[in-house]
Amino acid sequence: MNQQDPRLSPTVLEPTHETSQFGGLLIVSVIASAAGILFLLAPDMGWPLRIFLTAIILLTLKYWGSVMVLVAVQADLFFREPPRSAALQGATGLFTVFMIVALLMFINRNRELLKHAASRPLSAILSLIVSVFRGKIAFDSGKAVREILQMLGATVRAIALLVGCVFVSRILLGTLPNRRTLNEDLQGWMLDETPVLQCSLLLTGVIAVWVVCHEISWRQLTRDQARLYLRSVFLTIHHADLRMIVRGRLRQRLKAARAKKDQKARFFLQD
Amino acid sequence: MTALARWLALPAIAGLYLGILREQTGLMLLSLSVLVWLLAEWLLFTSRVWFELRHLKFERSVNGRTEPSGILWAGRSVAVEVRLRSSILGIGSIVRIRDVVPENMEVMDQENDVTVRSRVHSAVFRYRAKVLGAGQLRLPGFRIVMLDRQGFFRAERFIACTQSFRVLPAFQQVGDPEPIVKRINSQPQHGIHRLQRSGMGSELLELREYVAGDPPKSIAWKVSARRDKLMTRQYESEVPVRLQLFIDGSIGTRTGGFGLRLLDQMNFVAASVAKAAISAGDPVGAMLFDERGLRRVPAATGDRGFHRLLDALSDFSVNPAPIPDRLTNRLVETASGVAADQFPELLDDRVNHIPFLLFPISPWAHRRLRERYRLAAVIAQLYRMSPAKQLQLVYDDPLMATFAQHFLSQSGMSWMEPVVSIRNRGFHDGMSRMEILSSALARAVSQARDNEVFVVFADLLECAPSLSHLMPAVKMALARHHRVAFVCPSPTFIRPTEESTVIRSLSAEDLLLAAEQIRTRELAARLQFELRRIGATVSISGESSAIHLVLSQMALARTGRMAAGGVR
Repeated sequence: MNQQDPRLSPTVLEPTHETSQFGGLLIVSVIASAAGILFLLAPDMGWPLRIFLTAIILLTLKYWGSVMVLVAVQADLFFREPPRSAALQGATGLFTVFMIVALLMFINRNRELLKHAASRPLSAILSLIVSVFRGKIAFDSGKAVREILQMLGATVRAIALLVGCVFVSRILLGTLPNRRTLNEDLQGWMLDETPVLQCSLLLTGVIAVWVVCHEISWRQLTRDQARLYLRSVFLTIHHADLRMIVRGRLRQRLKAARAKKDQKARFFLQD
Repeated sequence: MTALARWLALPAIAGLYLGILREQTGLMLLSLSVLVWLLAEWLLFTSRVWFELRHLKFERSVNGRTEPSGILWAGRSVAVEVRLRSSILGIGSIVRIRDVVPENMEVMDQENDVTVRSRVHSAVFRYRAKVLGAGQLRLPGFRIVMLDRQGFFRAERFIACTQSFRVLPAFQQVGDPEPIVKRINSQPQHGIHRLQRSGMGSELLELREYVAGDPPKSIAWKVSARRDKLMTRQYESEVPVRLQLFIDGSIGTRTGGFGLRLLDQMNFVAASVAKAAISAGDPVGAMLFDERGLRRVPAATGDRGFHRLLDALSDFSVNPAPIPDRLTNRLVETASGVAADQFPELLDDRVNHIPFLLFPISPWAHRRLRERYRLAAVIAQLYRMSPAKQLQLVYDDPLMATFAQHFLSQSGMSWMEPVVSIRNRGFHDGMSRMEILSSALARAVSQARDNEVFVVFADLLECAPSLSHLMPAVKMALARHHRVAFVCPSPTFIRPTEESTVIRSLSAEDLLLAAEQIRTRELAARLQFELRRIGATVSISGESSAIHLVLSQMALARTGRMAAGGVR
């Protein structure tokens, strides 16, 4: 009869300090996957050094997220990948890059969980592990199902984004002239031929998108922000003059105050 | 863009550059993919901010009421419910929403800070909070922090949703009120003394056991002989006992956190006493005084009179504009912190430009100056100042101090160290406080009728040396057969007894507390000696014992006895 639209029934929001039901599992997955990829790097290096470097990078996950992992992978590629190698071209190269960026995404996504876990004292973490094994922690199955659905949705979106990013990069690399072909491409461009022309068209497109984005971001300003912007632009332009006037006024006021004080002192001494 | 995104972009750009130089396809592809990923996240995030925040609407209900103004009670907890609605697209994760509450409100378990973790169209969150002190409470709105899933971008906004409440002081319902029957409950005109002795009406109310101090005339001799113990006749009291409250709101009583101010203690006792008196049909008036002057609340009875008194106390408890003080780094930092909390969008570098500054050379001083420029811009925007005035805020310390104090005070900050300098205030204010109190007491005596009880709520402990200025007025009131009681709240909320001075442990807090109690006890002993010598009663606490002291004074006035010891 009087059925309520499910969209109108409000979701009850949880306080920020509430954590995920799968927090522990996610943390372990992040650490395991990061450690896994780090162990694959630099096979020529001795094990103690590799373990040491892996441990150092894992310790930085809390603050730096995936930055140090990216640096490590880039360093490995820089030293080990031969120039003009065909090993990372084609489907293999795309898949490798896809996996690495997916790992970076996964680490970044769970950085807050790592932070939260690392902020707790060791004894609390140990007691949590013990209580998990003893089954003392209440498991909210409804919440868990909701979280699993959310995670699935997020994973699908992330994969779509990732595939898009890697393919766009591949296309860009294919379109942009590289160092070896630059001279030939420039000559071709002079003769009104393709790659550099495509590149310049692409750059024009990027600039146009940037202008549009910039315009959108400016149009998001609130009324107060717009007023403040005008005020600060005015102040920036006339800063030197206004500062001179303000300082002059303050100096005059100080002088007047001193003169008044001296006058009072003289009056007191005369008495 | 957060630091994480910048740090990720840096190796990606470097890797792309090196990859192009060395023609390493894998390195190039990986680095470019990371850069494209960052760009894609930025586009998604910007579109989210553009579409989602624009349509976000909030509705807050406090104790089930959504009106922009209302009434709350100090010391009681309130239930707050916030509903948020968005457009058809809804609002996605991760959005942190915090209902910004002023210092006068204590939120239980930080439940005013919630996170949207999945896409919602409408949502609700509830929390409970306790209102700490009487005065005013303003809930300004919601602070929104929008983040992308990866933590690369962050947008902070403040969505105004203002609700203002008058906070009435807490009071205690004093149990077992005396059964008082009054046929006529009107105050006699000046010069007309309807009763020779107050509380000795013509109609018998009840017989009770004799208590030392009862007038011998009221002893029922025949009944006493029959029962073999002294019995007293209790008559109806026909003349109401008028209670006149004198409340000190000087700066010393306003400093401290809400709920911990001396003024809060005084309000509690005054409201409790007024409630008890009005329940017995006695009129209650008040004289409220501070540095701004004297305000008189006419004596009134009934619930209406009680609420009028509470309204007056509530208005009086609102901290006025602070006394201009010198500028300190802490004041600037606190004001900047509050500005970042309540006006994050005005601190955005895109709109709050800072002109090029060469001096000062020192990086710390340079950073402080930049922070001051930013704060000056926010204050200038809020108070609608001209650009010249804005720049004056940067270079004129007293002006900046005044506006920063105003800003903090209006943002609901209590009068603590950054807002006012507390040290040595008591000594400076003591003399003027005594003069104002003395004139208020003299004025009340000149307007008084029979059977008045004057209760002075003042921080006299700190200005005990200036007590001689008050003595003539007190003596005059006592000479006119009024009763005078003093309630001096103690800064530690603890009655300064022998036991309270015992050192519980050797921790710094306990040692400081004990030292404070010893000092308070010495001051209290001196004050009590001076005032009791002339016949006034004193309570050194803002707790229930003070309420009972005042009520016992009213009972004495009603029965016609002068003192519990039988002196008439």
